[in-house]
Amino acid sequence: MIEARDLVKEYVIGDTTLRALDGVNVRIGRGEFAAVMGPSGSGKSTFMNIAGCLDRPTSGSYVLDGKPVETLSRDALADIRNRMLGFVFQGFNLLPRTTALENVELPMYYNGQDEDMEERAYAALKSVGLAGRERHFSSQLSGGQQQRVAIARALINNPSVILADEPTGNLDSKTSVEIMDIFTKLNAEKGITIVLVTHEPDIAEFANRRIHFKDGKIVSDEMTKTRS
Amino acid sequence: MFILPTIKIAFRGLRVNKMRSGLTMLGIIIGVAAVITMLAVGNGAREYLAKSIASLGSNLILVIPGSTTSGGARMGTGNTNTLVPSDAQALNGESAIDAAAPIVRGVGQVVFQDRNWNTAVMGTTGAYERIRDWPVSEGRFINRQDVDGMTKVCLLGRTVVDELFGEEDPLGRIIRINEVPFTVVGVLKKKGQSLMGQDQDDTIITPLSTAMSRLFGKTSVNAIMVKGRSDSLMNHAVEQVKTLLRQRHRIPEGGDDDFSVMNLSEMLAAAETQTKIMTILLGAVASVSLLVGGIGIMNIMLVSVTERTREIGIRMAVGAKERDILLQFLVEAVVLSVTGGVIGIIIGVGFSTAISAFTRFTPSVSLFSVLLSFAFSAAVGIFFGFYPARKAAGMDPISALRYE
Repeated sequence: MIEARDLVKEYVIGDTTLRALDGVNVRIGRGEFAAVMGPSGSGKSTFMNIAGCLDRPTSGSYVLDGKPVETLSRDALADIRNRMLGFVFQGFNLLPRTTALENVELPMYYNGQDEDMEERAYAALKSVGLAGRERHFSSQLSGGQQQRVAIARALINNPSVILADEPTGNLDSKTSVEIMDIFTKLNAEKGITIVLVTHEPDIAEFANRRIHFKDGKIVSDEMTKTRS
Repeated sequence: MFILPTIKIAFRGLRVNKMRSGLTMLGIIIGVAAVITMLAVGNGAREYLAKSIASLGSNLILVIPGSTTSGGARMGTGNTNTLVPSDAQALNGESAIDAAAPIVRGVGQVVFQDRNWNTAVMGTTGAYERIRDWPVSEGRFINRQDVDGMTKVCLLGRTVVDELFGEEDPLGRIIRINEVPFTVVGVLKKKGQSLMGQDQDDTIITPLSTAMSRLFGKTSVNAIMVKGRSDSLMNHAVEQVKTLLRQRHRIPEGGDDDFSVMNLSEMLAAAETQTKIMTILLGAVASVSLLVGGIGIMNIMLVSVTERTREIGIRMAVGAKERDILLQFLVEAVVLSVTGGVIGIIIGVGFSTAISAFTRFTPSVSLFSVLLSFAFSAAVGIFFGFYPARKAAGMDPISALRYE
């Protein structure tokens, strides 16, 4: 599903070059639930940006679902993000002054499917347990509810991969568990590949694979449980 | 597929920032309202002038007695007795002149049965009909026999008919003008107001000779009205009038004219040109406000793009292409400017209507100026919205997402 070979990403700041990724090789198969861990500055966010087609590597290759994507144009990458990937962020990243329903509908605006948009958005919200709150504005929802809206938005175009960047970082432990249960369910029932960035070991417990980053390299990669 | 929700979102943005949107649109509102009002006033004035020109007749030259020097004392224009009926007769023979009619004017108290009315009385010849392009609606115009025979016949203007006769048929009836009985032989067609706002239909026309001797006791005329043969011959006609009159009045080489010649058509055309220039000038000044309004929109759109960096990042993350973001901000700018434009059009139309209460002419808002303002405000939105939209569309998704 996700296949990175000798991934290098360099940032030029002034006259020094910072190597954020230094030859990353990893393969995450379809239906895996992988936790990406590591201290800040270890390159895990950079890896996620490239994995999420938000950024392009300086060198190396990145194959997503059999397609090499490192050479694609900005618009082609936008299209891949729209159709194949779903994002869940630490800060929820919902549009302000917009209802839950409209937030969920947003990705559908950008691929031209305007048929039964509202119906699908209702269904997505229901699947994350937010039925009845479709017309609430993001500011009227609690953190956990906002994250559920974000998950519904990530799911709306039936992606094959969900990339979650510290999705529980702003939530209390009880809500965190609820959110993680949703991910677990999506992974188990729908077979969606999930890549989760976290630095909390107990959150990483939900995944069945743990990839540790340090100084732009993968230092350990372990399967923690076999899929049932 | 994407435009409609974008417009909806743009309108919501306007509602959320009411104060800011209102102030931003103010420039466009003032600009459009000013353009609409100025064009309407200019149009109204031009239409009014054109109507006046049409009611006066075309290719007109007016000759009035000029200042003469008698014993060292200069007399004012129009106060001398230098023009005589035979001058007009002589002018009729000139090549560039189509017709010339002498005119005497006075005021008369007119009586019919138990009704009376005070009106302008004018004595002239049959040529006047042709010169002023002012035919009768009933009966006949005065003719050569009337002038030669000094007959006591008259033509009534519409207003006089209404005042004296009401619904009755005036033809063949006898009225008294300053105690002299006259037979009504015709009614003049309605002419309307003159350029000076006078009612041109409040008049009576009698044969020149009758007016001069029976009514006013005059030997000279107040004016001679001349019609040139064509537009292009007007200067030539003016020259012929001057040459002939100087010759007839025996004015020596180098002496001052004892008459004044005015090319009325030229004066009106000049007035029309002035109005046109004024309209363009005022319109241009007003459109500067549109430009300033456009800059205001650009300014606020730049602020908005910066404020909403994170939103742009989110949209890009879920798959918005550069074109989508560009379109969104462009649509918002155009919604701002077009909303301002529509409000401006409404205010401008209201203003024009209000102005008509204070002026003799009616400002007319043309469909053209409405469409022009609408198109212009949309163009302002596109032009000044493009740079901010371009900036938004070119953002890097990662830094946009991380923007605080």
